Amino acid sequence: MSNTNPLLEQKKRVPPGVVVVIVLVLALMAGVAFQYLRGHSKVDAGDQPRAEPALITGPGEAGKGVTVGKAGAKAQIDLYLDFRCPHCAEFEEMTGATVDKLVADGTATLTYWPLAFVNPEASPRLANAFAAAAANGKALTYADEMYGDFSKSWTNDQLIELAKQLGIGDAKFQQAIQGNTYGSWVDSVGKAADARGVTGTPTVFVNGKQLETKELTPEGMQKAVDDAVKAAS
Amino acid sequence: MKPWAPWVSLVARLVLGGVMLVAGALKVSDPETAAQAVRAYEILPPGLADPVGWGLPFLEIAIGLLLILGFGVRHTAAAAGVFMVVFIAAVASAWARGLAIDCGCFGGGGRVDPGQTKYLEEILRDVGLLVLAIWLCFRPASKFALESDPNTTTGDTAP
Repeated sequence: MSNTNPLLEQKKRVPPGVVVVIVLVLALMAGVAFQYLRGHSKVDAGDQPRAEPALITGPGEAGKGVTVGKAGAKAQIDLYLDFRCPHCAEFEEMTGATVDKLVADGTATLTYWPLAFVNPEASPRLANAFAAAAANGKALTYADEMYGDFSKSWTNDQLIELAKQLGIGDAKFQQAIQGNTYGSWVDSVGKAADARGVTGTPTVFVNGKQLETKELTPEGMQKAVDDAVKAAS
Repeated sequence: MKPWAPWVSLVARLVLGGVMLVAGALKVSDPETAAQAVRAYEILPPGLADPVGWGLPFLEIAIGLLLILGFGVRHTAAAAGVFMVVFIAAVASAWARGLAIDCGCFGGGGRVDPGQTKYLEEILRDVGLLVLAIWLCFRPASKFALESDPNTTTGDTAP
């Protein structure tokens, strides 16, 4: 084992400890580069515009969420979400199509309650951006896009770029992002959620009844809404 | 040196390196979740928790690869050992403070139901890995390593 070939010993080799340190520093640099890309990657809202339900209650009313859909629907879905909550992104990916359809065909109205606790820096920023988009009638599309590219940092520049691609990125929108226009509204939504006993995200109520975690599937959502419609008619 | 020691070191290298590599790889593509897992420990301030969550997976992958290849084993194992000590301390601290979180070691993380914590398993696993790291610090020479004898850096591979 102890190979002490004098010829090889004479070669000056970089000590392995130094190499290890260099590799670890390179790994950290890769991490920094990845982080930079997250904050500077291109925003692509896609070519196909999504069907956007009509706005019933816009953002800004203290303690009230953003409601979309057709007024008079028999089922009402309350969705408490955080735009930086990984489980919400999974939930959105899994059940988004089902919920969108229920809202589009007038079976249910959907209220977004954007909370801001998961990431103290980004969550309030994204909730504010969502509110600004909702005020311009793009609540569902904007939420879907943010969840759809969840690993993106969603810097303010990226948020504004997304709004531009959706045709709502005017000066007023940019001002809302830079000035955190809906910050106090987001706070009021958080207080309303606390008052209702919502402790985590995603939390879903259908006609006032909270769904269990195992019901947060396309089938579970469909069934809860069907039951609510039956009970209401 | 005992003839079986290099074989034990080989197994230690592959197990410790494999776990580190997998743990890093599972987290590296989901920085938001990784950062949230670090925040859930409520040890670091938010400004520091995020970069730790983002950087940790890259370091784990690098250490894992170095161990599996068998290069600079003694130093890499020392680094892995430091990681394990930090992980054990963090999980123990979360446990002692009555937090109910997942360690987020292999992705995921964040709050769980109080009945679903696995602190003891997490700590025992990390203690086991720490033992492997300590072994490698004292017996870095192993079979099938890029570097057969870390004390004399010959550049030869093991016979």
